[in-house]
Formats: sequence, structure tokens, C-alpha cells
Amino acid sequence: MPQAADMVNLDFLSNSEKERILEVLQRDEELRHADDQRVRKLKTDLQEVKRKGAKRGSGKYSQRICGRCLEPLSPLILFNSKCAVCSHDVCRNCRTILANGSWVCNVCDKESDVKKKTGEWFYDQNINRFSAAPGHDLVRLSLKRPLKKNETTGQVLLRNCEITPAPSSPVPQPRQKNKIPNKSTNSESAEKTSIQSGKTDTASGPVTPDPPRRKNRSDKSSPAGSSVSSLSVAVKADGDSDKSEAKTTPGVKPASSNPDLDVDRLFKKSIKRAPKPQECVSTLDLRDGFDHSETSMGNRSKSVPGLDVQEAEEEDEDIDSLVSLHKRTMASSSSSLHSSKSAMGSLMSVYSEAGDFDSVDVCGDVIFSLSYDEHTQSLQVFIKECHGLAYGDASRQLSNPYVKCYLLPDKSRQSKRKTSVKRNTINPVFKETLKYSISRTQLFTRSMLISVWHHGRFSRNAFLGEVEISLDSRDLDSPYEDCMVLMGKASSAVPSSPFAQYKGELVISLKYVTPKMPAEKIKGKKVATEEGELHVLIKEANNLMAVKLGGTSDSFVKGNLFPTKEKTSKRKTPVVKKNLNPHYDHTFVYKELALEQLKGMCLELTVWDREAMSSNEFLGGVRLSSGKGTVKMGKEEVEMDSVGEEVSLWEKMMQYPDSWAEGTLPLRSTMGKVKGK
Amino acid sequence: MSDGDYDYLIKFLALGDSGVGKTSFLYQYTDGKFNSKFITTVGIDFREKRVIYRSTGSDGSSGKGQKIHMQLWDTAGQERFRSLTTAFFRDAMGFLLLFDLTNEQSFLNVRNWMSQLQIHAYCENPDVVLCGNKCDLADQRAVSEEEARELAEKYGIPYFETSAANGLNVNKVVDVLLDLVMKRMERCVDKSWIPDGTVRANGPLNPDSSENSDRNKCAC
Repeated sequence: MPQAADMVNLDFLSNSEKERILEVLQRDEELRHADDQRVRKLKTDLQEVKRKGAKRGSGKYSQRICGRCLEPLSPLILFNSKCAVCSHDVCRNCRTILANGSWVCNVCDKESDVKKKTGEWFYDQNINRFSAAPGHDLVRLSLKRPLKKNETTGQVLLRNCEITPAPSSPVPQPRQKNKIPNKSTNSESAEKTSIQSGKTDTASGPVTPDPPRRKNRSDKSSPAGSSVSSLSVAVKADGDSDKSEAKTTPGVKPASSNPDLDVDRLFKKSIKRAPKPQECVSTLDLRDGFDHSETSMGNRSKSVPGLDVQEAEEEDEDIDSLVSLHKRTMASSSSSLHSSKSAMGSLMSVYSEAGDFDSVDVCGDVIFSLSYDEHTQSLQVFIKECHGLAYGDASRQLSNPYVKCYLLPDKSRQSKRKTSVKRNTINPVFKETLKYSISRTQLFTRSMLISVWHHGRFSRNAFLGEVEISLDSRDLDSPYEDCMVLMGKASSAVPSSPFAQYKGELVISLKYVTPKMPAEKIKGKKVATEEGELHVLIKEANNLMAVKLGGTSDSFVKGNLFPTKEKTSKRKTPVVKKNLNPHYDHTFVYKELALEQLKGMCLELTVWDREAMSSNEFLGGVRLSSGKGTVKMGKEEVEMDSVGEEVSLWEKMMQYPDSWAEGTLPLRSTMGKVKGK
Repeated sequence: MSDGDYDYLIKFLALGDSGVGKTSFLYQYTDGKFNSKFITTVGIDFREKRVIYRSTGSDGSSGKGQKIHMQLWDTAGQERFRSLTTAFFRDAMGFLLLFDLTNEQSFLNVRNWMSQLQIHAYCENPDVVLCGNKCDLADQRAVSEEEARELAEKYGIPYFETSAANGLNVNKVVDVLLDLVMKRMERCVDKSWIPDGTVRANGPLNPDSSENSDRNKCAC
């Protein structure tokens, strides 16, 4: 079995040797860091290409247009115009010929290209090898052992080096770590790997959370990294379950643990080794800190001990319920986090998102500048003025314009900023600065949506135009004034694809467990033992959208298996707080399913941000199925519009019963359903 | 060197007994230099190099060049570092397995190294190239080309006689390994994306892939 990084005992190294190795690891870290940037860019580009090809999955479109460029297809192409991967009809210009002479559409080609260039193909195998380990109840183990697929040994070692501060005393203390039983040790497994293990327990006692490590975490992980260590805490504190093993183990492993070590430990069967109690303690400390900050923020996101209690009302979020919830929130909102100004706005946006506004012929332009203020760590959007706007109220030749901004992809109220309303003018001068507190690195994947609206005092608001500026290539250091022509709403013109916005990814494993031995059948009562179970292991999500103040989300995953057999097809994970890269490591089990049945079934997994006082916010979802045919959801027959990995993972699960099929699925930004014919 | 202007980051790892010339081999490859002094590697190290890769299609045509950033991990051959070095196996996409043509024991140990790879690498049959190094020291040769080739065939891996001192076959070996890894990557990704049967539906069968499919089968 693969030798684990956690078995690497480096005590035998001399101090100078440790230093040499540390140096190598640091060089590796630099290389990896540069590569992370590259990978992120690739993923953003892919998103861009996907957005351009508007047709994907859903469609009110004619069969005879190209699924990518939306040009009409030549009538000469009658057959063989479907892309083999996504099954869209595609014109010749939007195809990429593969080396073997066949072709795929250019979006699918780009997608596979990204898989290669990011090294995903390799990490996928790496992780699959681990999850395929025989003889282990992986579910049980991975409940508390998050697997992070593209973490390297070097990374783990380096991190562990940094946990341990530089040797304070040159005399290494004698150690007998391996023999110490579970609960007593503190830094046992951490130090096992550590290179600078010259020092011991005395130096960084069990109770001290180490700043260097946390810093390191945030460096390496994506935007929200800084909060990684915090949130696992809250979950644990909520009394979340780990029914599996010794009670000494923390229920959900802190996200800041060393996944690789854990992975590898699976193979060693040496579960005796203690999970680092050091971390338990430090997380408790952290939690205290967070509680304070929560109260100071208002009690919206305060943790509620009984998870079940809070999970009552997030179903079926139609506009009405959203609005009523907003009203309720506002009624009691003296303590709410929102400044009164933005709270007022929310109600209207609910409508504007639903398309409930007047539309006019867009004209005119907006003058603005964007800059980043290092000092306050904030993005500053200076809205100067607009020229030649359309009349929002055409009958009265009247416009009361204001400007509204979103820092996309976040379209929630946290991302909304508005200027004041200017009365009766089509050439308003605002000269207002709207600010976003956000770290510079996070801006890379964002874009700024500036829209202009007419404020109808007694009538409805009217949309006057918008512009979108992507921030990845924009120079934010030397602000310059931009004058951009306002555009109509892109989203209403083109049917938007559920993948148009990058919402992050969900990492899951599926396994179909075949029925037990016949012996058990005899013993069993009337239970249909011939039917197996579907295990859905929700591992983690990456790069979730931040919807809460402070750039985080408190997320959970909901599972629904269609067609619904009984009421119990709904499953939920516990909430993971303040993390955009949460580890859930929770398994949904669906019982009494025949393998045959699964072909016609559809599994929906949706990620939600938990809002204590209002409705939960949708963060993204995936729909797993064979991608063909329809399925009954509620009272409607709905098309199973799964694509790409959603299909391949589902099929892999059916193809290899009793083994885990793991995949990383891009989250859809909407779960809009296409009615079956 | 570490700016992100490249298409692929490819990670290789050199392994083999102590003193067979792993460090010298990589030094020759990246810098074109040779130092006959023996400096034992402490645990692990790596070198980097940028190359252009042109895939060779089955019809012999070459595709457009791809910029490759190579990270070449060097490992200590000494037994005392074993636990450390093997932990790095799993992060490499391809392996250079070296032995010393003038040292029979290092050749006999190839078997052990292969089984270490099977255990610790990212999959059970990773891409490996076997190198009999120090072929410039002809008068001290202790391993014949035939027996080395036979062993390589048994494992289904390519074999080359190399010299880190004069650079013989050094570039060749890395190129061959790179080609193997890039081809495997293509297969992995295409297999997971393009439904079976459509890939080769109207394209020429790739004789290369069918021939290698036995040993290159992987979990993906």
C-alpha cells in the first residue's frame, strides 16, 4: 500500500539535512504557486468559452442553429452534425477535428484541453487509486478524512514543517511517539512528518494555534482560504456526528488537517494513530474568537446548536416566499447586518431578478473608473456620470436614474451597491464611489456589472442599460476613466446556460452497493434484500460563491433522488460554516434500489448557503443521470439534461458496482428544468 | 523560470540505487554539464526545464508545439531516505528508473524499484523508462545490453543505454517518457469525455494504442 507521508519519520535527519529538504520544498511551493495561477486562468477561460456558446442543456432554440455560435446550420448538413460529447448540433466552424479524424465541438474540446493542461487527468487517477483500495469501509473512514486530490506530498511535508516552529533548542528531545496511545499525544502525527522536529511539545504547546500554519493554508488555497480553519470548528461545535469511530476523534476533521496523511492512512489500516488533538484544541480557541465576531456582526449567522431546527424552510424558493421573507427580515431588521440603505434595495432586486421591470430601448453611456485600494483592501468603483440615457417613463419623458453594481458572479444582496437617485435627468452626474471589501486575489475571477435603472416612484422601475467589465485583465493600479456604451440585458436576450457562470465545483463519490449474500436474505424478514443501495459521498466543494459578509458562506448540500419513491428521498449534509471550500464528507444512502432502476433515475445535489433569519441562498447544483429521457419531478416530467461529467460519473457508478466513482463536477448556476415532451 | 507561461506542467521522478547517476543524469539534461565528483543527494531535490513537445500522430505528422514545463524530481538512492523518497512517487506522472551498467547489484535491484513503483505511484502501471547509465565506461561494464533489454521487455517498458558523462541518449530518454505520458494523458481524457466507439468511428485506428493497451490500462 502506498507509503503515507504520515509514515515519513524524519527524525533520523540531521538539522542541516532538514534545512536542505525544507529549501527544496519551498522551491516546490513557489513552482506550485505559479502553477495555481495558471490553472485558475485556464478555468476562467473555459468559463468564458462556455458562456459564449449559449446553448447548453436547456433550450428554447430551433434545432437548426449551431449550438455554439447560434448561426443557422446549413441545410446541407443533415446528419453527423451532433457533437459526440454534448450532443448539440454544431456548425463546421465550431468544430475541432481530433487527431483521429473525428470531431467534437469547440467547447467540449476546450473542456478536455483544460483537463489535460491543469493536470486534472493525473490527480483524478491518483485519487481514484486511493478510493479503490479494497477491504476498507471507505465511507466510514472518509467521513472524517477529507481527501484533497491535488495536494502533493511536498505540500504536506512543507506544511508540516511550518507547523513546527524552528528548533528553539538544538537538543532534540527523546521521543517515543509511536507508542503513545490515542488521546494523550498532542502533536504526534503532525510531528511525524515534520522535518524540523528538533523541538517538541514544549515549544508549541498543544493549546496554541499556530499562526504560520493558518497563513500557509490561506496562501495555498483559493480565495476564501483564510477562513478555512475556522469553519470546520463551527461544525464540530454544533455537535455534528461522527458515529463511526472512537469518540476521541473529532467529528468532522478540521479542514486544516492533512488530507494526504489521512488518505494514506487508509491504506495502512493503522487507524490507531491519533488524529491530532492539537487541532481540536486550537479550533476551540478559534471558535471563541468567532463567536465574538459573530455577535458583533449581528446574530444572523450565529450558530444554532440544533441543526435540524434551522433546516425547516428552505424548500421551494419562489419569488413570493423570498419577498415575504425579506419583508420579515426587514421588519425586524434594526439588528440586521445590512445598512438600512442596502436593505431597502433588496426588495427591489428580488423583483428585478425575476424580470419584473419595464424595459426600454437602451441608449447612452456610462463613465466610471475602477481601482483597487491596497490600504483598505477594497475595490473602488467610481461612478462619474451617464450621458444620453433613455427615458425610463416614456409616456412622461422622464428618467430618475441611479446606478447599481454587482461584483459578479455574486448576484446576491451582499454584492449589490447603489448610487443615489438623480431626479428628472437623462444626463445624471453621480460622482459617487462604491466600495467592495475584497482581497485582491479574489478579484481575478470576478467581473463588475454596472447597470443603470430608472427609479419609478409610483410605477415600476425600468432597466436603462448595463455594462460588464471583467476584472482579470484590467489594470486596477492606475485608474482611468472609461466611457462605455450601455447594453441591453444579455441574459434576457439569450437563453442562459446553467453553466454560464462559474459557481465552483462539487467533489463527490458514488457507489452502488450490490445486495448482500443470499444467506442474509433468508435471515432477513420481508425486506427486499435483493435490492442494493446507492451511496453518495459528498466530499467537498471548491470555490463556492461568497454570499455572507466577510466573503464567506455557510453551506450545506441537499440531495434529491428522482423519481421520488417516498418522502425520504431528501438528504442533507450538516452545515459547514464560513468556508468557500467546505469539506462535508457526508454520505447519503438510498436504500432498496435495483441497479436497473438507476438508469432511469436522476440525482440532484444542490449547494445552499444557510441563512438563519431568511431564506437560504442557492449556490449551485449538479444533476446526475444518464442524460437521456425524462424523469418525474414532483408533478412534472422533466428532461434529464445532465451533461459531460454528470453523465459519465453516473454511468461509471452503474458500470462498476461496489467501487467508488469519484468526480469533480462544475456547479450549475441554475437548476432550471426543461419540461419533457 | 517559474512564470506561468507554459501549457503543461509535467512531473517526472528519477529513481534507482545510490550512485547510479540520477543527479548527474538530470544535471546533464537540464544544464548539459557533468561533474564526476560524487555528491550524495539529501532526500529529495528537483530541477526544472522548459521544452517544446510536438506530438507525433499515428500518420507520422507532428502537431503544433506545446510548451512544457518539466519538474524533474531527483531522489536519494540511499536506503535511509527510502521512506521520504517513496512518498514522492505518487506525485510524479512518469519515472526514470536508472541503474549502473558497471554495477550488477544496481541492475538486480531494478526489480525492487519496479515493485516500489507499483505500490507507491499514482497507478499500478505508470510510465517508466529504464536507463542503463554510465555506458561510456565500456571497460567496466558488468551488465550486458541483452539482459537489460530482456528485463525491460518483461516489464513492457522502453530501455536505453545512457551516459550522463557524455550525454548519450539523455535527451532521448526524457523525450520518450514525455511522449508516453502525453499519450496516456490523451487517452485518459478522451476516454472519459468521448463515449466509447465514437473516438475511432471514422478515424484511423491507432496501432500504437492497441499494442500498448495491455500494460497501459489504467483505472480512469
